Amino acid sequence: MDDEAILLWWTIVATLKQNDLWADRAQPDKMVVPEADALVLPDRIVFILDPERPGGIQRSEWLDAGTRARLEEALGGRRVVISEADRLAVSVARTMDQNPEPTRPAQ
Amino acid sequence: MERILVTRIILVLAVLTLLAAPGCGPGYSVQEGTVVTVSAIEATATAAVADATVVAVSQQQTIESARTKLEADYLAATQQVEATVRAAGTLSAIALQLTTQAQATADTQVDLAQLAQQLTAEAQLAATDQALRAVATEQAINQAATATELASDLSSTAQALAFQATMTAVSNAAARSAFEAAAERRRQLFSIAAAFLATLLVITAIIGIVTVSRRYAANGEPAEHPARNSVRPRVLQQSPCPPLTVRPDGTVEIPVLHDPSHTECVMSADQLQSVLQWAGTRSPAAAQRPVPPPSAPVAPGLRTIRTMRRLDQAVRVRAISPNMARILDADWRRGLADG
Repeated sequence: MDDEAILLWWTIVATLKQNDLWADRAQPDKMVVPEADALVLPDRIVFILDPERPGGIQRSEWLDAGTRARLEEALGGRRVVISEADRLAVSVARTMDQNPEPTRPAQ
Repeated sequence: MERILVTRIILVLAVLTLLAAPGCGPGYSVQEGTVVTVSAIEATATAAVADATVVAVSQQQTIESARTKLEADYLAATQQVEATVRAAGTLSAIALQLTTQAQATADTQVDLAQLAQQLTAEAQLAATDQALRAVATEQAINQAATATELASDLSSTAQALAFQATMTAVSNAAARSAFEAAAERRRQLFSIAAAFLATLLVITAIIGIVTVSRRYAANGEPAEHPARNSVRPRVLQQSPCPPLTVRPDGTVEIPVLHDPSHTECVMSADQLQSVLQWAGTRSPAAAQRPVPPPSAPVAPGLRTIRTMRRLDQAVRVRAISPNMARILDADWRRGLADG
């Protein structure tokens, strides 16, 4: 599960930081990336973004509809939902044909 | 001309004959008896002279006419000659002109031939050039079509390569993250092992010290003596033994006893244990044990990964706020309903 979360997270980062990835491909370790905490749920993985360390990605860029489409395309058609609460969160479906039972609402 | 000359000579001889005859001329004497005779002679002579004169005049006229005729003939001949000469000159001029014209015509023909040759060559060159251009244009069109096709293929290939490179980069990053996570786990294991070994060494050292202390133990109670230097930690030992020093972190610095007179300074194991316990309780640093540093991120940019069944579990561990859990669930269910 950790590997799956890492792979999805790096796909998200590589999609949004593609230009930086190409520019810094000689020194990829020095690339500034956003930081997040991952919550692995049965049907999805939720990445809770750290607002203090956005990694050069603006809040408006996360909320852009084109960003969501790019992420869905990069993630092989997985469904992507970007939520805005007290922190930004990116929810990614764990399967392509996402039709799971909806998770129980938070109590 | 010769006839005129002969006529003149005859005329002169006749005159001279008349003058040489007797009684003729100014010197002869005129006689009475012979007047008639002289007159007849004179008449005859006069007639002869008249005849001769007539003849001479006639001859003179003839000569004059002949001379005039000759002069006219000469003039005519001269004119004819001149005309001939002029005509010849004219003919020569004409011939020269014709020759010049012919030469010019020939030159013109040569020029025309050269011009025609040059034009032919230029036309051939132009035709060749046009043919080459046509061929080049056709080749350029073919090359452009090929280049367009290649560009299209390359574009597709470049897109594919770009996507592949992105996925390769992602895969590499994931592999690097996994490697870093494994390295971090190894580092953690190593630090745990190092801490365990350090603890083991300390215990071994303590056991060694206790053993040595038991062997060389002396009966003496440790006492607390203030250090001479206030900055220096407390010093524990009975005088005149070398002091035991308690460091701020709670460790005890035990002096090495080389002098045989210090045999009585050796502490027993119980004494040493009591000293260590005392130092551990009295040291201010002992109450502030260093907090282990937060765990390193599991991957670049991904600090923690929590696996749970529901979002409320994340709320329970304070990973997210209840409000955020509600919004996340609502957005996810709304997306499912829209999809």
